[in-house]
Amino acid sequence: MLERKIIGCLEDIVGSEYVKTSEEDRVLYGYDATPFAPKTLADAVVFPSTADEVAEVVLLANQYRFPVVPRGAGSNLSGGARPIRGGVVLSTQRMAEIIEIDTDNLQARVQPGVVNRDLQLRAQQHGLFFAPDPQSLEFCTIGGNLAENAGGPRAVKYGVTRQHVLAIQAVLPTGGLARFGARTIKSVAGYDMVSLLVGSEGTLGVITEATLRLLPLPQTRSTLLVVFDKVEACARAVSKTLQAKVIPSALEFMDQNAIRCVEAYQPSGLPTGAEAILLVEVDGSNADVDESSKRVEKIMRSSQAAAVTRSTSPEHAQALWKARQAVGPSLARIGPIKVNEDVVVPLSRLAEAVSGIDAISKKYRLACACFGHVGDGNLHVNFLLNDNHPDLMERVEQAVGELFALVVSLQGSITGEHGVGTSKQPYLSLELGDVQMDAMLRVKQALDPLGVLNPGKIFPIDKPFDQGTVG
Amino acid sequence: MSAVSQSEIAKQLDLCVKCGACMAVCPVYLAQRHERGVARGKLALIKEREANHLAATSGYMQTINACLLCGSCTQSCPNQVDTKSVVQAARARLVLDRKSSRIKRFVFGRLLPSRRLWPLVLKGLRLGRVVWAKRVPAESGMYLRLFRDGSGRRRKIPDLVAPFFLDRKHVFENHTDGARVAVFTGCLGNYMHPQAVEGIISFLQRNRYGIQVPAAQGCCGLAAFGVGDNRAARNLAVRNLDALLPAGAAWPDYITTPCASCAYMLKNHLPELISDDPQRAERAKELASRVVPFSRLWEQMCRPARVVAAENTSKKPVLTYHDPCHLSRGFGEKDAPRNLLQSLSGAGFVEMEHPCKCCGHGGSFNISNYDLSLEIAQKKVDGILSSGADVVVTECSGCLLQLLDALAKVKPDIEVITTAESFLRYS
Repeated sequence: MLERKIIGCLEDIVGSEYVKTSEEDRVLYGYDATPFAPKTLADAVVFPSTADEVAEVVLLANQYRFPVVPRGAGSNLSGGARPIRGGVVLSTQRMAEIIEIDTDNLQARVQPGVVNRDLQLRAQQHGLFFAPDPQSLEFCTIGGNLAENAGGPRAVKYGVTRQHVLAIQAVLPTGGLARFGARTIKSVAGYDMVSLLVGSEGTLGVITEATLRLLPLPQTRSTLLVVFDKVEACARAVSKTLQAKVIPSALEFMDQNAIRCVEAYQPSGLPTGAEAILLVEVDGSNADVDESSKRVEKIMRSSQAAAVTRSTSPEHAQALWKARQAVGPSLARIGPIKVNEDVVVPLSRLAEAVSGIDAISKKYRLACACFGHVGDGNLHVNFLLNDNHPDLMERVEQAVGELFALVVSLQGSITGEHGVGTSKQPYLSLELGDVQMDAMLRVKQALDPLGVLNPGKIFPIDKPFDQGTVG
Repeated sequence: MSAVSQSEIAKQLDLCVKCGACMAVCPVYLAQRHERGVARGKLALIKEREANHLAATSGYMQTINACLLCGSCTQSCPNQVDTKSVVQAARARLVLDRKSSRIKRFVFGRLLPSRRLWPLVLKGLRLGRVVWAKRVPAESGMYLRLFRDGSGRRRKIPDLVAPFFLDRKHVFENHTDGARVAVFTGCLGNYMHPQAVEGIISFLQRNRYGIQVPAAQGCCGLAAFGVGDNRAARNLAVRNLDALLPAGAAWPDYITTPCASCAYMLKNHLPELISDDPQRAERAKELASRVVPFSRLWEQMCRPARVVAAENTSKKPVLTYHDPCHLSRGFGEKDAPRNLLQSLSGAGFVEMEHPCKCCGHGGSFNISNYDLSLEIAQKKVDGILSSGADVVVTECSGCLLQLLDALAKVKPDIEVITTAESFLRYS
């Protein structure tokens, strides 16, 4: 627990009503959306309203050596927002202002607590949009999106969060308030610290403001629903589409188990005998969309697609997407406990990945459904469980280990979107060798010598917090 | 006497994976922007409390009380966690542990359900309001709750009618050839808006249905159930069951009411509350199967081919419709009330923005979190004002009281009525 003296200092910085230490608040800000995470409690929760207040809190943490865990909406899936070492959870909920939408430069300047959806709605009023569209965009915050380098279905065409951040203001782990990047597309003045901090999971800085790229909303979009009898044909069709120089704005995949789950829970007219379906969305000008849809349709038909349905109206397109949106709730019905891994492989290895995953789930006798943003090689592998019996959990653990080994052997990555946090730590060395791990650790140590910012995330760091914390 | 079993509550608590989807829709969270407000936060605290890791502190109780029971979270939840039932069970536990506010227990558990006491209190309050408001110290909680909100504005409560609807002598032209319908007035219909009940009766008469208005009926019990006083709610359930489906007498084919919250209580919670009474459990199921909210009954009975919105001429008042949570989410009914309103020859219809968003009343929530309740209502008011409607129609007494109070502060000339009354006035 933090000493009373430190709580007093925190109260001086942010105001006493914005420092919470009650039992309930410590529970409420001790969790995020990570499955199977052990219970963690914050010692205190602070709600700063300015970057200066954030800097003062971090300075204080350096002075008294207590952990500071930045937190946006707490929708993280890998433990990033959990105070595993106690200390102070720093919530950005009060820093939630869209400072400006700059239509001349196609930029937005926002505080970290802004909800992704709210930015989308504001941008839309100006005919613009913010490309990163994580599945949680209705409630996740921009600060969290940056810290985790979030991605979503649109990544296949537009890339992930990192590609859309021009500049940031951040409090560094030693308390300095820094501005990195520029309000220009180009800037090569020094190290690319923006790229380093984006995706650093709150270990290298607390982002207090971001200047983001906005893009003009495409004139129109069109969706194709493609059914495949064989999953290998589906994987080939994905590669062929991209080779044919058509870049869809979304390219989503569902395997047979995912299809069957959806049909069992929310029948959408999908053929349960099919091994895979693809949902392909193309966007752009009316002429472009018409042309690319035709090309996609041709490619799909020549790739042994069993059926291709092209949307005839925005409502029809929405109906086609229904099945994809029903996947999450449907899987919950089959097995309420879901182990969701977000592996990613190069497109050319997709077929191997899918059959390898199938073999693993059979080997460990686990119900498994795969779906995801296959256009960028990102597969969500879901092991579905009815209970968390220890035997079952052990089988899952072994299956997950083998899954990660598989994707690394296919030159992929163990996490495409969710981050390492605490949950992927044991597997990080599968992907990163000693040299890489050492380089990353040295960056962390150089910027955060006392290890106050989000300690124990990404890498297991054991630094005692002897002064600020007890026990 | 608990409405939902302990094991079911435990199951629901385990189903929450804290993904955060409830943050996008919870009206309390969107107003407070604190983890306390949102469903996953409440579920986390209740889980801790159930495991005895957390005491029933005032902070815990405030959190549990600050839920509108609107069900928006369940709708957007990937696991469909029934937060409403879990919160109600947690409130019931607070009552059993004698932790909940004694005033609240008295008001919602004893006073409100009483057909004798409550009217007296209401009358007394209205009469003594001017005098009392001066005598009671301004800092008294009672004064603040009943007369003023945080900024000193008066709370608008509709006038009481005299005599109350159920105390009047009613003579209906009873048709024996059609279906027989029992009318449940609800407190609003009995004490404040008898026009709502008259609207239903007029509809039934016009269509030659048999009508019963059992005089022994009482409050539906939702208010008591909402604060966790399951004992009071159960007593009312027994009373209403015996009044509406008397043992050994002919039963009505349908039971309808101007208030969807009453209907929801009778249909869903009443059978749960008396499932352990062997003499009544079966009859309670019979009752539940007969309950139909008014607008749905209208639609079922009239079977309108296709309702085409009437040409809106400038002379007709323009109606807009607010979806009560208990009707839109509870009964999954959004079309019937709209079809009803659009079929009315004497009025026009216009949609407001976000008609399905909760009005922020939430029964006892409105008493214990008045300022927050009004803040949530403000979004609703904005939508009503920009719709340009003259009259807001809804099908729930809580919504009606809330919208009336919230509108009284900015545009008191906008009326708020029930769907049943709109039928009476404009058909």
